[in-house]
Amino acid sequence: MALVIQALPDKTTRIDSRSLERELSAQARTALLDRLYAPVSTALQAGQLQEALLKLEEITVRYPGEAHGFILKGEIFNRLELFDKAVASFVQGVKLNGDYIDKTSQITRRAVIEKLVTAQLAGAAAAYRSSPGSAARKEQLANINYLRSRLAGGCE
Amino acid sequence: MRFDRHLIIILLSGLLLGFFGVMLSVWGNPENSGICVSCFMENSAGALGLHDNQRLQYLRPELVGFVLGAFGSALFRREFRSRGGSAPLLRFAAGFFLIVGCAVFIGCPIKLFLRFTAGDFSALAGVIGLVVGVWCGLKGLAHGVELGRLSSAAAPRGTGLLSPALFLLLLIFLFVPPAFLNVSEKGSSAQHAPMLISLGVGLALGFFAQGSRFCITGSIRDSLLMGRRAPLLWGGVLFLCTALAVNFSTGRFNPGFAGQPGSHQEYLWSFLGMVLVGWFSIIIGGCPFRQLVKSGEGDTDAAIAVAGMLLGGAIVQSWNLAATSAGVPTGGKVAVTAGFMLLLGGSILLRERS
Repeated sequence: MALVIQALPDKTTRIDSRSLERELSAQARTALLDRLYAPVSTALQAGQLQEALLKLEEITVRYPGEAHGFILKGEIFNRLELFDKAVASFVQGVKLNGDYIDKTSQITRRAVIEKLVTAQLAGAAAAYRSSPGSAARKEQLANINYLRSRLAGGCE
Repeated sequence: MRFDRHLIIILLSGLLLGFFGVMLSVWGNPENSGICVSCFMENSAGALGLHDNQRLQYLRPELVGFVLGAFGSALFRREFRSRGGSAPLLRFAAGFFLIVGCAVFIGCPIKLFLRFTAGDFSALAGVIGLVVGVWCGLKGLAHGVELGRLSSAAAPRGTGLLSPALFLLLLIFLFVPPAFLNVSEKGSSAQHAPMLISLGVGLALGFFAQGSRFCITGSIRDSLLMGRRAPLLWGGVLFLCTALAVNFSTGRFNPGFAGQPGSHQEYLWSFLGMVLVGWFSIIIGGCPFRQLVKSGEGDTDAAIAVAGMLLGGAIVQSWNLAATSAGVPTGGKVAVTAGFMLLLGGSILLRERS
């Protein structure tokens, strides 16, 4: 019994610090991503899109499954007007981390994604209707619908 | 069919469920998920630390309200009675697979119709699946596939209080959150109506649902058996009409098959997920919502099913069985198949042999 009573404060302290740990982890992650992808962001801001893409490929080799990389790639493709690729990259990023489409998240890209989806929906639907057998067009429409569904909200 | 007090309570239950099912979304719950027992189970399991998806952790006050409202109603009507004792492990498994089926479809039978009345026509596959599942369950019952009769003798005195007591503890957690309670700050669990409104709605729905025995799969079952004479049918119809009217009047009716909130395009799996839910619901005597209500009125068999549902809510997230807008994961398909194997195996073993 004494052992149990002695153990309680430690356990409570551990649980109490959980939300702080989460906050620290989220902030550390954001800071790390900012630092890791700084060369890409700098090139993007300077309008050097090809340079940004090259830098991004270098980083992606080291961190292939990172959602932030897919989101940045989506932004670059969007500015290069390669809309199909932009949509596909955003889909991969959002699937890995839903924070990028949340309304209140610090790292949200909701506005960019919403604008892209709104602009591309009619064209993608028409392209699919004109050749329903095309796997590429089917996938493009499915990607847009996935993003529409995530933007619409609902349970995940 | 007589227009009596019982029918009025059924109609009132349908009306309230349709109205508040939509209005809770207006007040903050996720789109088309004003009431979704399976989503709420997943959220609450996460809040209690049973899974670690940080986007799905919130102790939903509606769940607490359903059980305690039903408890209050059962006491008020002097219908509270500890009973149970038939096939507890099978009921536990059934509760688990109810949530698996719902997670693959993305929503419980209530949400199925909330989605449909908000213009999400992709839910049609689930509607057909639920009706087929109920029909399969009825066919099974006709062949003697039953889990046994409820008995007061089999449930020791007072055991029916355990489920209300557990949910009373959860009610205390709502007002005095313990340190171990997780609360999402992002994702769909971060979207919720004000706690007191959610709790009040849950209590009211639990109260009326206990008195009326209202249940989505029960409405379909009675309609298949009795046609237009079934009182529950009219409760179900009023639920649909009210939800449709409120969706229209609040500007939430957006017709279409694609891009709907919390939905996917894998219609076959939506259909199969809801067949599973409908079939299991008939075998254990009610949809997930009805199991919660029955657990509040002393039915320990329903309480066992609720425990299975809570575990299901944790497992579908931990094992990545739940569908998302991207589709149904392989694990979810395997789990639904396992559910059907249990149903078919159980039906063969439990059927009455002449």
